[in-house]
Amino acid sequence: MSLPTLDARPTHKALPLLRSELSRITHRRLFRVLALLLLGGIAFVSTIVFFVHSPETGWSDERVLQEQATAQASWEACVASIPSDKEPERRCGQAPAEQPPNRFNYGADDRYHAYQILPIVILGVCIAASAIAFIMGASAGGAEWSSRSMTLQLLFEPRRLRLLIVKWVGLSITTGLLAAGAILLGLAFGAVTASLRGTWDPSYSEFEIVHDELGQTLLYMGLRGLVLVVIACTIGYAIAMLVRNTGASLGVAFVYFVFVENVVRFALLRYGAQPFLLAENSVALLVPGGIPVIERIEVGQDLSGGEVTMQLTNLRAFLTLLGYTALLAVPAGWSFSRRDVG
Amino acid sequence: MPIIEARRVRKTYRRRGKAPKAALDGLDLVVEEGGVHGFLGPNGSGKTTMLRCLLGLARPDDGEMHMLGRPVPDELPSVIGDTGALLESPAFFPPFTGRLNLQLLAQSSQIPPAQVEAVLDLVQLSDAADERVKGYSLGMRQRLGIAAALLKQPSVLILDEPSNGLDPAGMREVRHLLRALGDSGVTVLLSSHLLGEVQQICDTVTIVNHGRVVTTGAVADVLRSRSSGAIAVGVSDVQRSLSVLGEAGFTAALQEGRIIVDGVADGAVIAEALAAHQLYPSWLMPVQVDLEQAFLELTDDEGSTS
Ligand SMILES: Nc1ncnc2c1ncn2[C@@H]1O[C@H](COP(=O)(O)OP(=O)(O)OP(=O)(O)O)[C@@H](O)[C@H]1O
Ligand SMILES: [Mg+2]
Repeated sequence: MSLPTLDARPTHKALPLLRSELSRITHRRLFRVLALLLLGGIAFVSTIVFFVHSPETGWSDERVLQEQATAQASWEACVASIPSDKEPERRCGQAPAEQPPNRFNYGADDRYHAYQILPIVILGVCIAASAIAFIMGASAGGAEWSSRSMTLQLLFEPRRLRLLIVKWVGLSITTGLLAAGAILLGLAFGAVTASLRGTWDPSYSEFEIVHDELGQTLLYMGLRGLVLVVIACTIGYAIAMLVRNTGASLGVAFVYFVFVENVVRFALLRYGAQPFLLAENSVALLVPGGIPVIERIEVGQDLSGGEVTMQLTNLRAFLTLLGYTALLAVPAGWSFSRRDVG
Repeated sequence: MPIIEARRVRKTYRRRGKAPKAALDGLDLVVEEGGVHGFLGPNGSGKTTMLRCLLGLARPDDGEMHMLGRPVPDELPSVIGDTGALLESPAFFPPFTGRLNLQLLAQSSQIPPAQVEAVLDLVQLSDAADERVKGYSLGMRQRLGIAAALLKQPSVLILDEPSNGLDPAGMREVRHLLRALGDSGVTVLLSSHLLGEVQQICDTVTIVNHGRVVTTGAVADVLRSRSSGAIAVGVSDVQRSLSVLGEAGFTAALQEGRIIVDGVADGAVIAEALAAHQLYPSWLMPVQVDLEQAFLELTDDEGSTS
């Protein structure tokens, strides 16, 4: 009954701790399942997308011009029906004749348009990855409390804030790498689909992509997506640290997104709530240039007026999300560093 | 220099709807270097709370604590590498195997992987090391907890009821292990309810009740202090002897067929009183107290000690 003598005394450095955290995370079965679900889901959806697109365009060029003329006629009728002091252009939209005459505008093009869809791929993948990252963060925090294994770790690294930060860094690295992999997988499927079942023709895009900068646009979107993923995982982890339970953290998120945010969105729309909602800000962070949101609603005495919109830019969305994250993470860290554990 | 020194430690738990409860009420705990120190007390007397305070898991309201000469919890990081601990039921991550749980801890402190195998071997868990902790029995978890406490090869070992749930063979192994560690210079602080075990392996002991120290010192001294003043007397005529002793002013009572005389330092006065009535005691014997009895007397709330 004896132990071999240790040559070196136990250390407590950040890097070995981070390495052990990374292997702790990657050994979790739930995390493997979630990662598989994300990547498998992307492959599944991409495959369906591949098969619903055809390599052929629908209409001939003459047919497109014909449709455009019809649309122009009905637009003119619309404009004529509205008194000129009521801003007819705003109500009837843009004149079809002023738009490039492409099939896409008339919904007759079944091809996969790389410029149109690849940004949407990143948007979708990043939102899905953020949801997964939130669950991972919540579960990492919650499982540790329910098993009290954090107590045991504190007997090896008593500096609580340091332990917490290393754990958070480990989670961020893991979820960030997973999201990066997911984005690349989605883009790879998209590229194949565009090549075989679509077009790389740059004349189609919903976002204001400068056409020879598709790669750069996608890269920046992807990077902003990784930021969103890390924010989601941080929020999940922080909530779990505060409520000390995985299920409760997921419940909080569910109730928030399904009820609170929707109620706030509609009840407080006119008071300018929309620029502060999590969902809007998440999308605004991803979409190049951000998204327009309703800043407030102005109703004049004659009931005229209406929505005043503003552009929720990438930067503003990032700062708003960062603020919310800090609002949760700072109390979580503070309470963990002070409260009794075990 | 004491290895563990805690002075006037106070810890009060606030309870919803009830008066606050003082778990530690100015507790002093001093453990000198080397050997095994017992830390005893009834349920809820504050043992675990004290150990959690020492290890930085709970924050005391007041008091001073030092480990290995450093103030804790402020300088805990500088001494934690020399400190191994097991607190009540050990907290491992249930879906991971026993081995993986230890490997992750070892990795974080750059302890060589061979040490994991060594401690697993030491607590005889090598065969079950690749099973999930979820499926471990109480005793297996406890063994794993002891293994984790030994992982750092600590010079201070803090164990809170390590024998909890162990089978008889396991208890004996732990006993031998702790005694061997104590002899090799490791300072072991052992909280336990197994007083036989404590009496066998501990050099010194601290008994607490209601968050306060009741007694502390070498085990032999604690026992001696409790055995003073009671003498058992062997006589042939028990009834007559009782009445004679009673008339002579002794507090004598019949217990299990023997006469026990309380509050007497020297047996000679008893012999003298009996002999004066032609009763000659065949033997006189100071009553030996074991640790269990000492403990029960010391921690008895209506008892004569307080
Ligand atoms: N987290 C807590 N919240 C509230 N009260 C607590 C908490 N932990 C302990 N206590 C109280 O503090 C007192 C001391 O508890 P502690 O666990 O230290 O006792 P113990 O001596 O270890 O008992 P045992 O022999 O049963 O292990 C008890 O009265 C208990 O109710
Ligand atoms: Mg206890």
